[in-house]
Amino acid sequence: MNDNKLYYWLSMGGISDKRLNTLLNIYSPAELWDELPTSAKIKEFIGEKSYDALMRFRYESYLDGDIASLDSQGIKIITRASDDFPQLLRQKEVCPPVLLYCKGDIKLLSTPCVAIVGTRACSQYGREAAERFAGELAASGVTVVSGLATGIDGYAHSQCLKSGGKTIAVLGGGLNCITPVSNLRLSEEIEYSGLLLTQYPPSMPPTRYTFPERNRIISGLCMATIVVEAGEKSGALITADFALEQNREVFAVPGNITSSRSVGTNRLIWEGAKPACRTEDILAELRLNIPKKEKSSALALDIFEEKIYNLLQDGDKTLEELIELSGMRASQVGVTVTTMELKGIVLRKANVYCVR
Amino acid sequence: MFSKINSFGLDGIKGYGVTVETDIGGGLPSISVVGLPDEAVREAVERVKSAVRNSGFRMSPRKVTVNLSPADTRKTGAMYDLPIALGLLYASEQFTCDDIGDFGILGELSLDGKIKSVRGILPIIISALDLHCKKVIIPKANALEASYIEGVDVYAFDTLREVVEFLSGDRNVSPYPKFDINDFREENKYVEDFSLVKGQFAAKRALEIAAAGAHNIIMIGSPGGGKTMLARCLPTILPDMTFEEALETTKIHSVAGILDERKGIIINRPFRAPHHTGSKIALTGGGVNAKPGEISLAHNGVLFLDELPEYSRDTLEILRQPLEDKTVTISRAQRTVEYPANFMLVASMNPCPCGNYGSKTHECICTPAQIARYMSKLSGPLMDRIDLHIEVDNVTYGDLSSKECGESSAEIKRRVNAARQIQLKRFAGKGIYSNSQMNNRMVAEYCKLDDESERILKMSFERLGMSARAYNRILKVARTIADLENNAEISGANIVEAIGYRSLDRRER
Repeated sequence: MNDNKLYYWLSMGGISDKRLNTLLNIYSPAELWDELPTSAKIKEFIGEKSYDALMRFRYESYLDGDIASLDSQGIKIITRASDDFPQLLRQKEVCPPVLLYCKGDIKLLSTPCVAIVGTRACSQYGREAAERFAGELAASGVTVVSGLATGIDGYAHSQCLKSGGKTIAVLGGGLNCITPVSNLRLSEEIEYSGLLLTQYPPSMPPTRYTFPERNRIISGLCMATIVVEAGEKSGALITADFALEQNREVFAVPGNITSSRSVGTNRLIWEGAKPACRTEDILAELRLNIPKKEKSSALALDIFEEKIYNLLQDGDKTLEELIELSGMRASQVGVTVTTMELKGIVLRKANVYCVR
Repeated sequence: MFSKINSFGLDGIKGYGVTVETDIGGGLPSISVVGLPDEAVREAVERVKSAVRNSGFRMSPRKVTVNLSPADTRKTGAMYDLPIALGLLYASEQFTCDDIGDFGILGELSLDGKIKSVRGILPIIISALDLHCKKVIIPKANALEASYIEGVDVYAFDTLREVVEFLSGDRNVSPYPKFDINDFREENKYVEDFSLVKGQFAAKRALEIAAAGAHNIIMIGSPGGGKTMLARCLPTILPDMTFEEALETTKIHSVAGILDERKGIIINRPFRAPHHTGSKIALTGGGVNAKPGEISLAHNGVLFLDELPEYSRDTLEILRQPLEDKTVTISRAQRTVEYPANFMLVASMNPCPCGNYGSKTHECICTPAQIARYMSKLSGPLMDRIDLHIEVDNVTYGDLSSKECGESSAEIKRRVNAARQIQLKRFAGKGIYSNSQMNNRMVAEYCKLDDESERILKMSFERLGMSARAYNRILKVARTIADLENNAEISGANIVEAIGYRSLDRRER
């Protein structure tokens, strides 16, 4: 019997990861299989309930059938015995689960990952920050990891996909119990071009306890965690705490001191987290490659465009401000900025234009 | 002991002939009115009795039957008072007149014999022409309204007695003089002026384009940004109405009974701003008598809907069909009427529920989901019918205190008028007046693009992810911009500017 099957069997006992890890420090999975029926010590350690469960499933044919049925649903399992099990997750501080249920591209687990997390009730600023970092990280080949919640998580995932990048969603429940329902379609896209991941069996619905538990896997998978927006008691702060425990980098997006949604992130910065301002800085900090940016001199600009370009270099401007500062006619400014937008030099967000 | 008087009825904004027949025969003294009269017509009997007596005539003490023919259409309103009274006096031989059949007669009577104004005179006079009725007798208060139509002699009177004297040849009255529409054009009667709006150059430019081509426009901006102010200034730059347009609009206002008696004609484009608590009926028209609603009163003018998402979804969706067909059909149990509704829709809205999204000075407290929900109140099909989207910035204190003000409304109006003249010439005989009214075939004919412009347009669709529905809108707006520059061909710059006014297409909903 191989270790994969043994780990799968162990996962069915409902033993907490902490207890199971302690147990596995002493016994190998094969030893547990052999000794469980006889060892009173193990039974006492894991408790009556888990003991009964493990005894009930202690038939190889049963386990084979189970694994085959998961396979037919397109669900792959990666146990600790597998080479695909992410190295970063094996770290002791993470208290790794014995196996992961996956749907999608499991090769992503061996790519450099960065987590983007934040509050569900985000502001437009939070959304823009999440999308900016997700898009730029994706463009530099970094896999973006998040939790498929509404708000920051969802925007990070979808922007990453839009930019043609790869993304991993770590779920707080089973693969057949995707929540929230509003992100069902997003989850299908991620399954198609990214990876859905969870430690919980497919039909297990998420509970209020599984989400914090899942957060340690988000941070555990990643070299760094970027907290975009977090209120006073946001779950994103739990992820940040796990990241620190696991010796990973924590970045926090600074926000207005008056914004209630930035209280958590600003406190993180006060406590020593690095402020996340530019993707380049984050990549440099993580010693990842920085993609080259094309220089502005390479752009062919006429005199009007040049003027607008220079104005926008100083900061984002509305159309009205551009008209005022450039001294050009309203119609001319309108033509110029739209031309530049078409050329992909400037970007329009709501009513402000900025240099791409 | 029988008489026939010609009069008129109203069906929507069309008039039709009604004959008031009066017969006096044997029987107990009474008056009965037949021919589907409504309550107001039936009550005419009481008014006529008093008016006749108080004008120095006497009521015939016999059985009187009044028939309003055609007998199967419903007659409404008080305008049959005068013809009934005259029919009665004529049938009872209190005056004689050989050519009474040449006259069309209308008017409401008060108990003392005075003649009061009635609704819908203008459409009735126009239909009198079609009915080959060359002379009409109407209340003096309505005379001005009728005086713009050539080919009909209008005799206007104040009292029943005067009419009787005129018809029996005892009083010489010449027809009411004709007026030209231009006698009533007024220069700058507005309080607002674009020169009073500080800054906002982009918005002013967009409104100039909208006014020139009668394009629908929506202004998006934070509260206090000046959206309403800009909209209120819009009438000052709207192009002058042509005589045909003025007549069309006046007809509707005449039917609604809200015409200014001192002018008698709508010469400035109407600007209607119904409040968002108004009902659907108030907007489209209806009620028992199927009166025209706000969208018809705004015919050839502006319908301004402030805070668009505050209107109920039902109310907004009801605008879709009139925006497309330029008419609205109202069906009620008793009648079905069609009113023209060729209005220019001007709307304003906040960018998000709290109003501060995109503002540099105030924090927006809305979640993206809230913003999406707010925007989704405006359905795609409705937004597709709006040609120009502009973002109106907040004005800073610096803007308010310093700042050159830019052009006055008169200067802008001159350009708008010139552009509209080009359009009138282009569409002469085609039944439309402006670029916004072009149908797909006309767009293909008048909005030809050179290769360069075609390429830009194609690129914009790919780059900015615009919907195919925006295509014709962009072409029409570009046509108007070219007209403002007096260019026969649409240039690449025109196309690009038009694309710049499609900001909502780009926003994810």
